[in-house]
Amino acid sequence: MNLKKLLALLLALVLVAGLAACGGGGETATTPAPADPGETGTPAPAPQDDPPAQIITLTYYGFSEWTDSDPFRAVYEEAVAKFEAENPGYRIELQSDPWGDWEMQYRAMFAAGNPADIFIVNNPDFPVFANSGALLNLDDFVEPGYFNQFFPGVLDFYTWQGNTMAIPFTTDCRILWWNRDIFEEAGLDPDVPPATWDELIAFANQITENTGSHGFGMDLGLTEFPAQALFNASTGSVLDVAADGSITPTVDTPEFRAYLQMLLDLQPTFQPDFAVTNHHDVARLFAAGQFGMIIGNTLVETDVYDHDFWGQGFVPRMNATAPHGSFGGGFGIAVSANTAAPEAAVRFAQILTSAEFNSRLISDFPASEAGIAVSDFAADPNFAVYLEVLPHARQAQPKTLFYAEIEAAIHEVVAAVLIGGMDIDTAVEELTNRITAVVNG
Amino acid sequence: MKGSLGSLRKLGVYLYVLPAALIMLVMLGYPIIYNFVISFFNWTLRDPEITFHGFTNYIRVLTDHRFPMIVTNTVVWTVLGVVLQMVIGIALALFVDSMRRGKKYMRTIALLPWLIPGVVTALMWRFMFQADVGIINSVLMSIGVTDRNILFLADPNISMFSVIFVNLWRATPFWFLMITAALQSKPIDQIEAATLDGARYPTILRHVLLPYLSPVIATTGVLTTIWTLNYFDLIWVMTRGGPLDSTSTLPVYTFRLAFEFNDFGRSAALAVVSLILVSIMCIPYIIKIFSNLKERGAL
Repeated sequence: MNLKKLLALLLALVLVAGLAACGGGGETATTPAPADPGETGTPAPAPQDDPPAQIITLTYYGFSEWTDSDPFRAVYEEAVAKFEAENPGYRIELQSDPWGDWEMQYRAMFAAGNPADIFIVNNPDFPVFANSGALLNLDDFVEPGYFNQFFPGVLDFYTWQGNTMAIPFTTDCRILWWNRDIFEEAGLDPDVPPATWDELIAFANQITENTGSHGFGMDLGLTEFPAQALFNASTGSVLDVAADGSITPTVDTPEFRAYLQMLLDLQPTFQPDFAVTNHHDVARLFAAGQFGMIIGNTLVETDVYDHDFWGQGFVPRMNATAPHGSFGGGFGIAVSANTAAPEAAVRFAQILTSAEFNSRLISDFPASEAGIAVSDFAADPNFAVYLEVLPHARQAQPKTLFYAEIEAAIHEVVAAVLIGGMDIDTAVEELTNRITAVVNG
Repeated sequence: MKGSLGSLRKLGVYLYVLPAALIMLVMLGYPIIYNFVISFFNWTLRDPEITFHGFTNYIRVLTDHRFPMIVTNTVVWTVLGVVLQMVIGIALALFVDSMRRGKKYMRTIALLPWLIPGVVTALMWRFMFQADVGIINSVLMSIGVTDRNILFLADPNISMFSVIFVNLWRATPFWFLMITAALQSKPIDQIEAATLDGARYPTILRHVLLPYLSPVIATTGVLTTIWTLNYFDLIWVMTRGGPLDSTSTLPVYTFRLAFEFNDFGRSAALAVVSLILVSIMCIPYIIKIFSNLKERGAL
């Protein structure tokens, strides 16, 4: 091969490789440089009260559905104005990306060792960021007892190894929605929703048989724990985390087996596209009269607020003696361990999570009694059930560093049962093995 | 002296391509090399330490229970997708080229799917494929093709074909565009001579048009193979790789490893595997391009 051929070949290979790198597969290849391990562990600078000699700009990063959309944008600007008035020498720059991009962008920022100074953090991601040393220990920057104002269960999301590393910002829960018109058409009492899993199955089947609607609007999510709110209305948990941090799968329990059986028994009654339907679509389809019942959150409200066909209630429990339960998550406000002005950054986080601002900055529920008391939710009867269910909401898996992997494993195994024909015994064994493999790396 | 001048001239030729080569090496080579380097490190968001990991990421990727299915999906998605795009794109371009009237309208209409952003295409088809309220099932049932909803996206046996169909709808116009452009300078003399000699259209197609189009087909094949293999948006929006990983391809899982499971090292290793696969899949096209260049005396 002569030089010309060699050069041409080399150019062709570089071109092919380059084009390949430009595609989706190469996307992760261009993520920013790894953070210097030492950098993330750098102790925070000492708190400072005096105005800085030069103006320091702190960045806040959230998702644009709140930060940069009406009616919330004006309130964020109001919070910024309040902070800047109270903290001369500091400026806040609001940055955001739409929900779909935000999750990727904030991971990329952490991976690059260049997170925003103050940012919203999703509770399942919190342990990952906290463990990496990227978050400031807020206990060093707030007065004793400051965190007592927040719901204890929500506050617990944001503690890691005894340190509080984010301020609770939002919480939410799922409730049972039913269509009273469809209930009547099916011969059910429109004022009596199902209270247990058995009743849910019976009601759903009756609706499917007697009406043109599906009895239940199953939302298996796309990668999440399917129908987690129902599972949480039992005493079940898929994991046990010991005091020393060791993680044991607790899948082989009557609760998890009953949950799988319940989904199988419900199967003829839910719409068939469950495997690719998310809770937004389910809410819209419920509003369109496709389902007799769904488990949903406040997103449903948006679609049905102007109608009166619906009822709201507690999530049906595993049985009459099981505790009430629901799925609840939420977001916190965290501060980067690398911020140049930790005390000022914490002060802005406190403004955002204060009762004065919290409920006006979000469409979810504030994470404190005081925040809820001054919110629109407190006075609106359409949200009364949520306020009753909120204390019972929880995550089905305790805090670990492996939330996403375990969620994906649960999703896959449950989907295998429902559409892949896997039997319950095999599913329990498979999920146990997968969780063990995830935890053991 | 003559020899030195000749060498200088040769060197001058290479100097002309040097800036382009340098830009490509810096802009494209650096990310690839960087990705390759981090694929050997244990780099997860949960861990403050980034440590050398040897081939562990590669071993974990290759022994992942999802890996065989993901590679199979990727090959099916790419090969079936590109072959169908090519056949339909060429057929459509030849058909439109042979039309006496309405060519420009047909060209405009045929290009429309290519103009729609991928995410919009994915959302549009996701709603149309929806079992209960999607228009496709309604139409199929109303004309008696089926008496119950077809689970286009929820049935793991059908979902891959559904997303391939949508990509076919979106990407075929590119083939149409490239072939149509090439046909504007088709060898009319040869075609007329063949016609006068009594050759029918299939013969002209086989012996005149396709050989004439082969460089364009090879180049378009390289581009669409790479684009299809790496295409992420459409699958992500329509199915997120599900159900049961039935539409999970290498780019989808690479993304999930990094941005869902926070494992950048393993994601980088899978990206390298993807790169190797792309290169292998492009070899036939590259051979064809080189043979075309050789025939034209460019090499």
